[in-house]
Amino acid sequence: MRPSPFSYARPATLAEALQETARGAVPLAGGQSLIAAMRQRETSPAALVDLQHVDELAAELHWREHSLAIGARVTHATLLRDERVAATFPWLAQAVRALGDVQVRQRGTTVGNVCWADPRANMLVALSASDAVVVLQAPGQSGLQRIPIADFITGFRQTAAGTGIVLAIEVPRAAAVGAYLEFSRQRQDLALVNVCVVRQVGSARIVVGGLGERPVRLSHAETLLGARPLSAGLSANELDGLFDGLALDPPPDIYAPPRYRQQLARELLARTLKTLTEAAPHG
Amino acid sequence: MAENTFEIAMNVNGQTVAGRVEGRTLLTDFLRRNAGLTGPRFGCEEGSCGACTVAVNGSTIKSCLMLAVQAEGADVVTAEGVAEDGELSKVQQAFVQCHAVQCGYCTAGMVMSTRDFLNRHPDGQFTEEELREALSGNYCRCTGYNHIFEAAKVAAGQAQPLAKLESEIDAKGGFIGQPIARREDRRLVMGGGRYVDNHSTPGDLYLGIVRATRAHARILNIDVSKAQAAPGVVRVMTGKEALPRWQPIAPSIRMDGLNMPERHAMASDKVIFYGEPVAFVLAGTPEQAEDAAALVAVEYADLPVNVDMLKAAAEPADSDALLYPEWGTNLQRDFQFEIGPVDETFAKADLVVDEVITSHRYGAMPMETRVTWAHFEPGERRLTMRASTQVPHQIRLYLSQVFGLPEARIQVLAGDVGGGFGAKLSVDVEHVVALASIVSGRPVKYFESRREWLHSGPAARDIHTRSRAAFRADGRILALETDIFADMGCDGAERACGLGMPINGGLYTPSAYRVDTYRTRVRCVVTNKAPYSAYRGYGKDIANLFIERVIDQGAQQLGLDPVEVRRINLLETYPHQICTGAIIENGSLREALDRVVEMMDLPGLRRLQADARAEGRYLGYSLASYIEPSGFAFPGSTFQNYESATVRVAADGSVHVMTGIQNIGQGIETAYAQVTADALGCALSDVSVSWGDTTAIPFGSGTYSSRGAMYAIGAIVAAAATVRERLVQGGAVYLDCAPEEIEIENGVISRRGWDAHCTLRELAYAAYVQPGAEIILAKADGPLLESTNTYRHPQVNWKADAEGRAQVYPSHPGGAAGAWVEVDPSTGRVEVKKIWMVSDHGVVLNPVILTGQTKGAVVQQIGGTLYEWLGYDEHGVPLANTLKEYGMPTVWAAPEIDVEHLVTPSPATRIGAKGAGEDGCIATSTVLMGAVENALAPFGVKVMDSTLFPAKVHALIEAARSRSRA
Repeated sequence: MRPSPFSYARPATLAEALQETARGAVPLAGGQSLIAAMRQRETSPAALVDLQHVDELAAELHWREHSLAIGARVTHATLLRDERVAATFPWLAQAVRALGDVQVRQRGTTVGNVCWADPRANMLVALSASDAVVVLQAPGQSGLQRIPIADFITGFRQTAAGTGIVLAIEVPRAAAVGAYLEFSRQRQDLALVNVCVVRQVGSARIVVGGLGERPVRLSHAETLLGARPLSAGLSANELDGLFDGLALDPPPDIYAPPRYRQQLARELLARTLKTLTEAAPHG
Repeated sequence: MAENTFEIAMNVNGQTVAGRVEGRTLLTDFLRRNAGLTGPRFGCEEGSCGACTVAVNGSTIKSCLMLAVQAEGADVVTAEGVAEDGELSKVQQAFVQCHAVQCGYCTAGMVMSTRDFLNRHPDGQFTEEELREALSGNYCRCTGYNHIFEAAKVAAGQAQPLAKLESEIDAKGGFIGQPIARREDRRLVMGGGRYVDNHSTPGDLYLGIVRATRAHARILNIDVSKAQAAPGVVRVMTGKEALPRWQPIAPSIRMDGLNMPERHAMASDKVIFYGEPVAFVLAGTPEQAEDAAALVAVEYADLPVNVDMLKAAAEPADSDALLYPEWGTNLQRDFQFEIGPVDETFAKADLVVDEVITSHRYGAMPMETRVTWAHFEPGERRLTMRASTQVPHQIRLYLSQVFGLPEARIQVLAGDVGGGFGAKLSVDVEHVVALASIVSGRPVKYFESRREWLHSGPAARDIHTRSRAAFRADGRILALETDIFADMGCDGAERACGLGMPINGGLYTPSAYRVDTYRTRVRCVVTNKAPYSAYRGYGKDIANLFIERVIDQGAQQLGLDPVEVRRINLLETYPHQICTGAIIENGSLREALDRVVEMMDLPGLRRLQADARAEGRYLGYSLASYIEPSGFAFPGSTFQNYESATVRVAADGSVHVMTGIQNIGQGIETAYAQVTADALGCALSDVSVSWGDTTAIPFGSGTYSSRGAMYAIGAIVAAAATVRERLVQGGAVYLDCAPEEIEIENGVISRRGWDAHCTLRELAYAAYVQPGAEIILAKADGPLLESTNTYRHPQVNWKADAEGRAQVYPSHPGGAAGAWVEVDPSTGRVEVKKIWMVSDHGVVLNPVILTGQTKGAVVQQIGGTLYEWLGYDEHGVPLANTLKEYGMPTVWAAPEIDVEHLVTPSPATRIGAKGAGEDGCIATSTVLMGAVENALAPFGVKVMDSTLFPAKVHALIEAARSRSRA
């Protein structure tokens, strides 16, 4: 199967690219999700604008004093190759390593993975736990919009990008520890459930993919953990309680009924916290 | 549609390739159409299979997820371009030397990924984990991946090759039994191969099929006007319009008591499964065909949908839910057999085990779908078809029946087939391709999409069985009973041939155990799903579940060792007649069981298990005996008890073998050459093997039921004997001696004890030309160094005895299998840590090929048990649209597999070989279920469903926990 016909533009500048998106063209980055969906004719955009030649969109990581900027043309492979990622944001490295396969990571972009907005997308879950910010340029506007990633994702495969183009995702650098864990049927498949926990002294972010239309924040658990030293996790009872009242509207998955996914999430969270607390300095 | 095309150029394997493309043209298509390459291939639509893998600017990527226009100006390297100085690259060579190739469809992509990985590890140092990670984007359906890992290690200098090159073989001891590297593989590792899609002719039209979006509905109206007006469309035809042009699909089997549908290959009045063809579109490009097919609007009136076989089986004669109202039932076959005093024996048993055993729906899922090319030349009234099939001669017959053409004017060609596993015995959509060419007079190509295969391709397993066993207190089985329901989908006999699988399940439940009292009933139920067809194991797999699982239960309930229970019930002498009729001619089933027990080191496993439990981990093991009936031959079917072969020595001394057996990746090009060289006394390099061209090869039944090593080889040996005798007569004239003095070895004809000899080439030229046959072959029984012969297996017997029992499987290889697993109770994940297989297939033709077959089948069945599923929702809509959703096993699914062969030569076949290739599919589910049950013994979990998906296993544990709490 092959995509429906579409018009294709390959601009060299952001301004030209924005003219295309303003007319309704869908941005094409690595295409590893988009072209697959188009081949299955799940989605059939009338126009694509290829960002591959827009030099203003970074293809390399930019390490700033307070943040890491992941430009729109940064591939998963680039992220995986950079040793500073594993050193600074080990949970991002864990998430990218579990994503797709060698070939897919060569072309797929991290920004694209977020913009695809599948609630189980590895980078979306990991970056959501990283307090990342989406930098969006809308057509005809001089300024940039900076949108917290949680607000950027508006539904199942839906974002607030509108006709704008995401220039980059910025990840704040903080003295944090974190871990990413997923459960998929076979390794490197799309996760049934994935969990990312990022903790600092005084705060925590816990994001779970696969339980809802969007990645789910476990705010009660964040509050509990935020008040504890990094060497302390959650009790079994606390873990059990987390998911009891959680309203669930998970994307359909023929292999994982909603209750099973809750149980998986509890188990993954327990394992993630165990890893983190064991690694934390005690006393 | 707005014109949106681009003139692009790129560097492909060192050459500039230019062309005009649409924005949507995929790089794979550009490489195939514009660069004329065949290595990058389609196996899926979601970028999971990796058959399209190429390097673009040094990065290994999936060319099916990249637009051609995106590669403008790039450097592209494909498997065709990695050879070094015209020789195979190290990676390619290692694939050949490790038997890392079977059907070859995935190979070009796999070579590219392996090459990329080794380039990133120039020191050759890597872990197997890293290697698997690097290959996880490439699916292989045949090999079970293990030999591919070996190839990578060999290329990196970490390991030694598993096979020997022909040049390394010493002919002295004969070629049979040598681990010779396959000669098929050279073209396959280079990105070549004779797959259907690699053949195109100018003027090819492309077929798009409009498929039902209802599982059971009347067709009210089909509006083709928009499609007819779409760009590039040559013809649109509905099933109703097609009715006068063809007959219903021709079945492969007919028998009493079998309800046969009479469906055309496109539905005309009502549809009976989601995905059934209702119309076709012919257009100038594949893209246009797909676009136009999507514009055909079909109006339906829904009928009740059958998705539950037990419910479907109970539908009354006047129900709207019947698929075929003329049958008055949804039962396609209701088979019953009984022998001995069943009820009385159960009544006096010390223990009755009574279990419901179920297996979910999954299937063969070869990497190549049913790609078909047909050309009907109206002037000649001649039809040529290229098909991805196991049975070219059967297709010729079916086409003749469906279209009323003489078989003499039909040519079917099958080259390399990208996997079959039984599924490519089914023939239905191929008729639509032929029809499209007949009505258009043009060559037509159809590339079935993966989604189409998933929705309409053949399925298997899917049974619901009550299995009962009467035990004596000492573990002896006194009687058995099975009550089997099997979900045929819409059909198991006309467009598909799976109906025999559950019947085999019934007939082979007693297995090799001494049981003479047995009752079975097999209800083959039609439902509104895609058809049910042959799949590796062919019901011997479910038979194995029915017997081995109840033995484990019996042993547990009687407090006996399950190995001992098997030992006291296993046959003691050969030949052994199973109470349902089949005769196990000979074998080593007890020795195989003992050997598996020894290899597994059960005390050691129990220690590991105990240690693990102390840490809260759950490991378990299980083992089982199995038999692998082979060589199915059935009256009233296209599955006959013979195969044919031609052996020809040409005037240049080259030897040409032609066989009705079809190459589907099982290595016949190599193995049959080994046999021919031994039988004729020629050099291995002299022999070429051909198949798959019905105008060139003698009539044969084709590839199924692991029959080649018995039937094709029997025919080859017989034909070679005739030719050899003529060579002896000719040699006596040439060397001026008595025929009794002639010796032929390795292509040299010599006079025993004299320094007088000639080469096969010299003798052949003398026989054909100078001086010619009137002199050289004057005393031979014929003037030609050529013979066609057949082989009939003497152990087939179609004359039923008083109990109604016959012998349709002549051969019974068998052995024993074991599994060692870990289960994570908090997620339900099953990790297969190791599989053991000890099997006896008689004389081994080529041990590395045999081991590859066994390992491949094991991983295929692991996939079926742990991941794969052809599920349906309550409306009969298929749940899996992609290979990922289906659950195709990846590199991560392949455990360590220890394989050993015992050898009990067949008393009946020409060189003592029996069938081989299915055993990995027969006992693997059984031992996995047993091992999971063993691992979860502390929870009291019983495993009677072969669906070991994490959520299912987790649910079993939860249920056991809540039972124990209650």
